[in-house]
Amino acid sequence: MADRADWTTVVRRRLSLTGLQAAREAEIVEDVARQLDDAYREAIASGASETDARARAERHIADWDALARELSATSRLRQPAVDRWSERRDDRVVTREGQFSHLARLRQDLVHGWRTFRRTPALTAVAILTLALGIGANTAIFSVMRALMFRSLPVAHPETLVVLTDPESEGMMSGIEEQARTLLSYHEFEGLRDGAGEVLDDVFAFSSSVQRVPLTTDGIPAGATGFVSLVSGRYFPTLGVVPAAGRVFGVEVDAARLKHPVAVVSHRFWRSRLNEDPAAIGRTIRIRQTLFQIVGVMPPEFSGLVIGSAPDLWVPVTMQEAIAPGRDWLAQPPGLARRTMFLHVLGRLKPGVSLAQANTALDAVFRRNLQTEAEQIADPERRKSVLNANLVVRDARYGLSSLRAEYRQPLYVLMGLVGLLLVLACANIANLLLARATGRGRELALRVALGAGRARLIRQLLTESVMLAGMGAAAGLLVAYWGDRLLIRLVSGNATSVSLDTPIDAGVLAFAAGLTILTGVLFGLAPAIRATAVDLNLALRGTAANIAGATRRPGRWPMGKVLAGAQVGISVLLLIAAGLFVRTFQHLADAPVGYDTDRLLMFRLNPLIDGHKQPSLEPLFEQVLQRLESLPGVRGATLSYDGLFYGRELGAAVSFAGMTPPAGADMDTAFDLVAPKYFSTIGIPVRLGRDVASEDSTGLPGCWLNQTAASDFFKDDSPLGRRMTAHFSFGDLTFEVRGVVADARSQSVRGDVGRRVYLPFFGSGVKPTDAVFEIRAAGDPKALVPGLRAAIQEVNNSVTLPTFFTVPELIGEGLARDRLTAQLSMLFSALALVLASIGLYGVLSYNVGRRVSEIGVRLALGARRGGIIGLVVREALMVTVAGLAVGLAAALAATRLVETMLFGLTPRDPLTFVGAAAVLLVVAALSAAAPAWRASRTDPLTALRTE
Amino acid sequence: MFSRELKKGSTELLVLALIEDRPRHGYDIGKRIESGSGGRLTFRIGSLYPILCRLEDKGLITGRWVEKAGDRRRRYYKLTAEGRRALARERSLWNEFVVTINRITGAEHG
Repeated sequence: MADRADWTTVVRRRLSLTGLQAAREAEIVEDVARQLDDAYREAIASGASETDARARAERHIADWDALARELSATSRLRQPAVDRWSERRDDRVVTREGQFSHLARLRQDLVHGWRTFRRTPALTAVAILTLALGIGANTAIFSVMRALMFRSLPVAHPETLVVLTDPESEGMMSGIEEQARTLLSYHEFEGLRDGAGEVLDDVFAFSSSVQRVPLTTDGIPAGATGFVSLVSGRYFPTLGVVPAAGRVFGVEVDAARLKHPVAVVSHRFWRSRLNEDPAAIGRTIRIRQTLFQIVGVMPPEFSGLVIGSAPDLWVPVTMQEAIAPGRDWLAQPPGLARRTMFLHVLGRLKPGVSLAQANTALDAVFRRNLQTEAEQIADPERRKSVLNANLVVRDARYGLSSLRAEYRQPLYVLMGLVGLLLVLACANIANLLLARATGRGRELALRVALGAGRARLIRQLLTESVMLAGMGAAAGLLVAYWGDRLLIRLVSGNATSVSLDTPIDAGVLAFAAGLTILTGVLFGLAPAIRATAVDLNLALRGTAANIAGATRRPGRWPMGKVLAGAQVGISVLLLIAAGLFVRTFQHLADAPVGYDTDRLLMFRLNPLIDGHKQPSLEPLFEQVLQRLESLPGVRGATLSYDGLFYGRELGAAVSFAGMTPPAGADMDTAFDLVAPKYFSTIGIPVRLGRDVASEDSTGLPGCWLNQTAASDFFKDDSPLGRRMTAHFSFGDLTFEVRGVVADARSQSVRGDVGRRVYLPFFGSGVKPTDAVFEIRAAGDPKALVPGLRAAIQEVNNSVTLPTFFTVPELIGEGLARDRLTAQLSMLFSALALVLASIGLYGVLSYNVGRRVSEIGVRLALGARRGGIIGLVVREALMVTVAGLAVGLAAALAATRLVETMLFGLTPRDPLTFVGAAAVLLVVAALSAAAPAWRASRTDPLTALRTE
Repeated sequence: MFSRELKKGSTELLVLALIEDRPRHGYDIGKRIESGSGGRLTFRIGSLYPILCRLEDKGLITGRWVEKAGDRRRRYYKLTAEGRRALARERSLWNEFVVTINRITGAEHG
């Protein structure tokens, strides 16, 4: 008979149990051996040979490995399976009182997380910095969007406020405006104020743009200026804003003009310029030549009704002439068709009145008033123009703004870009955490051994991620604060000033908090799931290779490479966006305007404010012109009324003798008034006829058509010698066409140039009261400034000295929006490139580290070092190309959305796309350089030794 | 929870039934399953042994080493109180195996 002890040896040899306590293992071995022995003896007893009996017994175990696996898995004394997701009783954290507590568990997680971060300070610091930039940038743009578009005015019951003019309009128009009125005149406002009682409770008006005026008072340095807003009596009472100090003025100021020199100051003005003087109430402040008395200070949250504009002082509109001397914006002589429209008019809806009802009623009142007025207008054409107007009433709870329309799309686009940047940052951090998770294999294995369920572990890891995100967000709020300041500064220019309050308030904080949690989960989830799929035995056994290998074998999607590829894809998308916007801005800034803008300097003289009056203005302008022409360094001097890119334009309808335009044809034309030698000084080619000369100031004045006007009105015929009549709002004037000039831009670089007719500045009958001087310099135009100032003062030293601008500067101011988009998208794409290259470098380094032994083997077997470099670079390229493919495809689809923002290129501009891809390939190659080099430098002996 | 588990392996139920009257060792249980089911359920140590371990793991049976005179020790398995309750519960649910179970338990003579 065979020795029964044989079976124990056999079982011990063939049954490889793992992870069991020794006692249990012995038990199993003995039991199985015993049963095999039973089977063997039974076979012997039934007459089988020894060999047969052995075979029969052994047939009882078909698959030793399967049996070993099953037994290892089911034995009660083994550690619980990692795959069980459900929470175990031991997972619950119990407080000292013995109560189960969510809070206690959270606290435990947080403390554990904090300790983990302290152990890897470098990684934590990098992650926090990345998150701060990502979350901060998102929050900054969100708060600007919110302030600009979604914030209710800080007044009583903003939801009942309505505006009768165009909320996006600003400035002043003099003449007649047909159809939907963008602004109203003072006389029209008074008519509405008195007639709107049925639908509106209160009606008030204020100037649609702030006036910059010189101020003087104790404590303010000489030469200081401030912004003044003109408001009607009901402005403050209707808004119901409680002043921080003093009182406001009310309807009493509407009674008479120039009789109420009172002012309410803004909180910021009081704080910064008046140094928070507690005795500010009652102080006087001199605006131009008038002394105003400060009666109140507004609270800090109130800065007027126009978003982006923050006046320093509010004064009654009846004080207009003190603010803008020499001009009367309020009077409306009966029978005069022309009006000065500069006011926004608002009111409060009566309870129960809807916007539609108010619209109908107010429009009716308005038209009725116009009807009454128009009866006194002699000219039937003008009468018809005046009557062809209507009101559109809109909700005003979010205030008025010209910025809103302009910046809506760019802000949404920037929000999208910065959101993508955050996703990229998350992928980056996820990779960092993945690498760290593998390093934590042992720690996690121990915790699992101590009975933690997988779900519990994942929850803990996610808590850590959100904590990390939270720390990043805290730093991010600082980024957001400074980012907002920067944004506002970028949007403001020298001539324009944007003032937007973007406080970090509850709404912004809520956004940041939500974003933080989302971010934390986004970058934490994948690593958490990966990290907890640990095979305990391998992890606890401990070599680096084993720990790395102990994480579940990567599926078909190696996560590290996928994340790196995603970063590449997002980067190329951001880079393409930046490329499109930067080139758009360049095209806009360099857009040909029809003349050479180099060495051209401009300034505006407005002698009225200094007390000069007609008829002394024209001689004054002529004297200044003559003086300037004779200065050294001045190649040519001229002047015009509109100026170049000053934002002003004359307009009127025209008609030509002997020509009847088709019925309903649009005969509106832009106008400018220009001095002699205008075209040669500016550099606008004269196509037909001649330049403006001094003789054009006498007799029948001449006029010059630009190319568009000539083609529009005369097709290919020459208009020279024709008689043209301009139908201005103050009367008709006749001219003789003396030339046709090339199209030149003076309003905007976008769109068509449009029709333009040039009239002589001197002697045309228009009698302009201010002028923009244009100087062509021989050298650097700014160098001429002191000489020009001196010259002006020589001619007349009572004239306020102006600011000097070059054409590119003014064009630039008008391109603030495009510049902002270009600068920010460039910043975001640069950040993306940095992160993506770091991410790629990280993944490649990590992979090289893992494959050290493989590389060692290759080298030992004769592979060339160059071949190893090629290996790594190939891996990098594969990831990059995959990422590029997805990113480029996304870009092809997405760039269509920004088509309207582009200029001079299509959304699928090939150069931009190819360029972006090329940059990314170069960056990828650079990122792969160090890891590839290191790989090739592997010492095969050392590598193999650690195997 | 137990029912689901037991339904997965009717063999488990059989094992419980087989040691209802008295404790048995592994090989014995296996032989009885095979003979009691008319050969429909073949007995392999490799298949049955993990089931015994599982049942022990769940606390439905316990194992004990018993040494009979002149022989090496064997591990005998008997029902726990929990096991008895489980068996009683499941019995009523397994109609299709009633015949087989009755045949086996009915043929039990010790």
